[in-house]
Amino acid sequence: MQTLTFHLDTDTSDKAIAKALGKPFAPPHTMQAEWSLLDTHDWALWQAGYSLEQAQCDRQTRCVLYQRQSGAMQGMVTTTMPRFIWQMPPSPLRDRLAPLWGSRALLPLLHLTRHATCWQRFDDDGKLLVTATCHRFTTIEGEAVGCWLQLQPCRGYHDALAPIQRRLRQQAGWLPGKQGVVAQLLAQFGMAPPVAKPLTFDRTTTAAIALKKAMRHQRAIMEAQQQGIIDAVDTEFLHRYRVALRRMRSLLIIAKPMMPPGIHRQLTNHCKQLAALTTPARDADIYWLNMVTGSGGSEEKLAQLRHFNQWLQQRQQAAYRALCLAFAQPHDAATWKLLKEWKPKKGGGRQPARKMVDRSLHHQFQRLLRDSDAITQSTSDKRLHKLRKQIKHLRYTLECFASLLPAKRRERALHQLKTVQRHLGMLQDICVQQQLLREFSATLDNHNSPESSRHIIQEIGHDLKREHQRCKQEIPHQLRLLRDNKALCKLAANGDQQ
Amino acid sequence: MKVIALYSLKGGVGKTTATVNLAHLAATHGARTLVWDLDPQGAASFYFRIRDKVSGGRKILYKETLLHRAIRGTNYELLDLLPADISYRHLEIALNAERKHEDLLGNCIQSLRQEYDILFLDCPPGISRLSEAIFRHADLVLIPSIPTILSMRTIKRIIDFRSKKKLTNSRVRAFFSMVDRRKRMHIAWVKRIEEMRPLMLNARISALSEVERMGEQRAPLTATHPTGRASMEFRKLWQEVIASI
Repeated sequence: MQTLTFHLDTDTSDKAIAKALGKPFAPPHTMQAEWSLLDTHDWALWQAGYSLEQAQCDRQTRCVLYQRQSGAMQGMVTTTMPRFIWQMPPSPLRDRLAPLWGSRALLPLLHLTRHATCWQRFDDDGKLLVTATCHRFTTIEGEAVGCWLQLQPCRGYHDALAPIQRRLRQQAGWLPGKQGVVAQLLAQFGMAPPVAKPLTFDRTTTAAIALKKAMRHQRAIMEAQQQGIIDAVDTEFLHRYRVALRRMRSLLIIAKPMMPPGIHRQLTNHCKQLAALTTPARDADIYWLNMVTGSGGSEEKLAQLRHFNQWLQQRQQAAYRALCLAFAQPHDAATWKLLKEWKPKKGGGRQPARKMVDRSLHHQFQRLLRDSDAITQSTSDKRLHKLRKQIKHLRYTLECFASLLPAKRRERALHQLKTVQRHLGMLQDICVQQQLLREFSATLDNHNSPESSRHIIQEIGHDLKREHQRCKQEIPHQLRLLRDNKALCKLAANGDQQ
Repeated sequence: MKVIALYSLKGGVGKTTATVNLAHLAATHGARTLVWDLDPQGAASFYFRIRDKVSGGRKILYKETLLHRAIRGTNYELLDLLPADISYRHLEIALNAERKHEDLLGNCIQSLRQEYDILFLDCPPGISRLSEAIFRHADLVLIPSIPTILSMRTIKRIIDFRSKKKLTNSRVRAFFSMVDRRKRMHIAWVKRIEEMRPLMLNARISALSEVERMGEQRAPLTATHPTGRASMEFRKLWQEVIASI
């Protein structure tokens, strides 16, 4: 659902906002509450656009699962502040969080006072069209933190948003931001992963310089996430670190012909080691993510799976410890230093960057065509995973050198690549889940665990198998669409002409 | 997601009123709720002040994107509506024409599962292919019934139809609606409620002027008169419904 968020000056009055919104808005109602932003430290909820929010009002605690884009999703009233999910009163919200049951505490990230003023616009029939909410945040001591205006259309009435947005731009010069209130608040307090600006290259840039710049850019992104991973602020830091690492590996493949072999080998091996360290931490998150967004199982089932959650958590914590240790090694800093120092081989990397990108795209696409041609519903998971990596490599090349490529064509190609990747990613996630279940089952046998746990694991295993088959059926069709994507074919054809 | 169908062979027994109020109660209890107004009369859409028009008409049965695009938010948090459309009068034709491997209503319900906790189906009166599909996919079929001989006969008919077609997946419950305490026959039937257990729920909805006024206010009674007698009766009904699903 499309929600517009405007960051306003802290001294903007309600009167000024009402004036900017115009007359058809109903008189406002206001609410002041002590407000805590809670987090489950759960990438799954974060990635799905959810945050846990808790407001204390009239000695009652209102706990809501807050969807960052579309506003509050679920509310409940409790007399005490829940510290763990199992302390929440029975409700659909608790059911939704049940997969994280027992494993993750609700951690208060921010504690502020929120003063909210709400205006609503109705049509002639009295149907609600748009809700405008002004959120003013202050610290508990009363120091102003920020002021945001949020415009939220009622589902199916998005058309009503455009005239209001136009009016706000014309009357008050307010433009919507890209992030929601919670994300902006977290960023203000340094609790959200930093977002890097995209790189731009001009047409005269040589291949070696462009590659060097792109690799340093990815390294800067990795460095920016590192502290967040060490402090365990949110698993999103790890996710972004991994994406930057994968992009770095893609760039290293392109840089191979022009990079001194020794440096190339060292960097490639180091990236590979880091990727291996991040994987187990991420695998556990994948499981939790799929449990939250998927069926998740009944409450009884999940309560019995508490051991499995604990096992996953231990595994993840061990992986985090290993990764943090790797960051502290002098070898890590020394290897990354090579990125700044390397010089291209004699005669290498002097061609324009655009030429290098075109050629790389051509080779990658040709390889993709060759490998995807024989893909059927019975192709092995291993081969599909390999194909997924190739598609990622192609996508990262398009994204890293985006400014060198025609925008429309690039976006169309990226859209199709992302769609295929999503399908292949879902399949890979299921494989990861199956692998984790197998490993956990092995520990169950050793400890002589109850029959019921084994039975539940078996049931989940069957569900995953069905899901796996369903995902696999879709992949050949998606690959056909990718092969026929005109934008991608044209982008790849440029390299052929050279 | 739980699917609750408000269904009856007879018209004017309070299906839509019950749907609207129960759905509002479900949403206030924190469940993401959707009401699907399957009745071409569009009364549920009217109560929620939403136009009874769906772009694409009954094509939404075939295309998931159209189905999701047709959903409208109501004035109440967590409560959405899939409005009625005049083309639903041809729903029977679509269901009759569905091929063996197709399951139009089932596919639609499946695609809504991720997004909602409870789906209320406000069904049109009559017994048809749509009724079969509803019995196949609903977790609970709620039959509002006026305490009269003809209405009670209707319930028997529905249950016979269900057994004959072997559509025994869903649970069937009935409740007395539009109960008038001034009428002897109504009182007599209400007294016999224990004999009709577990089919008949304990909660009953009285024939009150405030229920009739819902049409003027175009809002659920549980929202406009939360402490009124009718609201209390709907609350009791909701408690029993929760226990049944």
